[in-house]
Amino acid sequence: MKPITLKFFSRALLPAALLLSAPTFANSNLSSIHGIADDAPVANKYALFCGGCHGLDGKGEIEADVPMMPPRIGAFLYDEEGAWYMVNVGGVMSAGISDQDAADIMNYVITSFGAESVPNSTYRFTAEQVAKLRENPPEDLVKLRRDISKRLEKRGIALPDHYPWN
Amino acid sequence: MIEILSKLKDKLDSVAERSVRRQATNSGRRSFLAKAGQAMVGMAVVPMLPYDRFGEAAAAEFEQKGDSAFSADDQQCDYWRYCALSGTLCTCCGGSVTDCPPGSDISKVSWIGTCENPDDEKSYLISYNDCCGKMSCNGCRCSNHERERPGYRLGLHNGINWCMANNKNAYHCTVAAIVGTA
Repeated sequence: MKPITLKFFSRALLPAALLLSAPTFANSNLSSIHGIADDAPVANKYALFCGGCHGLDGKGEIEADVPMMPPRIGAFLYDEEGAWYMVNVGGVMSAGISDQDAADIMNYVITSFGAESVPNSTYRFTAEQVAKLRENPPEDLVKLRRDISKRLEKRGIALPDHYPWN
Repeated sequence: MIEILSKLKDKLDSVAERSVRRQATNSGRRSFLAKAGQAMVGMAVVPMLPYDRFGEAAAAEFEQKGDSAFSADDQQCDYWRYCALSGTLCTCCGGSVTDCPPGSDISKVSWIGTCENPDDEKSYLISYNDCCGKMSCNGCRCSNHERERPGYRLGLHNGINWCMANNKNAYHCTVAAIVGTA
């Protein structure tokens, strides 16, 4: 008999919760809800909204199916659907943050964890772009990532390592 | 008629004997004990998952001990860094506010909240990491929920066993480390 293990729960529940969470408070006031100032440094917002699972260094935790971001997180932007994928992944959507904060944090992520991997070092997400990309979320994020990965592979561009659902 | 019944009985006997012998050959008492042991351990592990780790009622009783708005005693639930800590304080289990007790490992994932320090009236980012790999400590239990959100907002939820990503998943206690200013 193989006992049900905690590993099962970590592999099944954590990613499921990250992926299925709904964008309930997309444009709510951060200071009142989360106890952080609207003008707080973006690194602090990353720590509060993302750092618990992704780690302050962005390396994630493969054992918990949290993918690693550095050093190639910016490589998504080589693909025309890359930005669409990035702003709709479970962590961003479940963080309950405004479009502006999402844009700021995405820019923090690509510049801090993937500066060498972006196609254009001046590329920046904007709140308007995030709002538009969130209007029609992808039906199947994992499939989208696989599609992007295949297209980029043909061009010799690698995405970050340790994606659990490759 | 009796002869037929007798033959049937003999047949049943031989079938039963073969079956028992086969079972005795293929498995032993140790196999049974191993499986029973797995079942019992499984039953012991399941209640640890993943919600309501440690009796909120007991936690509420302990909470009453502090008599000031914010305690400076890090073994009390109203110590300012614990504003959103639900679980057992590592300071009561041989650890510190930031360090796990000997023999336990810090969780690889955590949830991060904000608490205001009454001394400077500034908000700080607090990472609530669980200490893992030892059975639950029976020390000070707290149930604080400032800015916590329900389980579907996993990253803002403190009722979860954050040891889930560690190799050893048993929850021991929780630390509260400052990771920045809010």
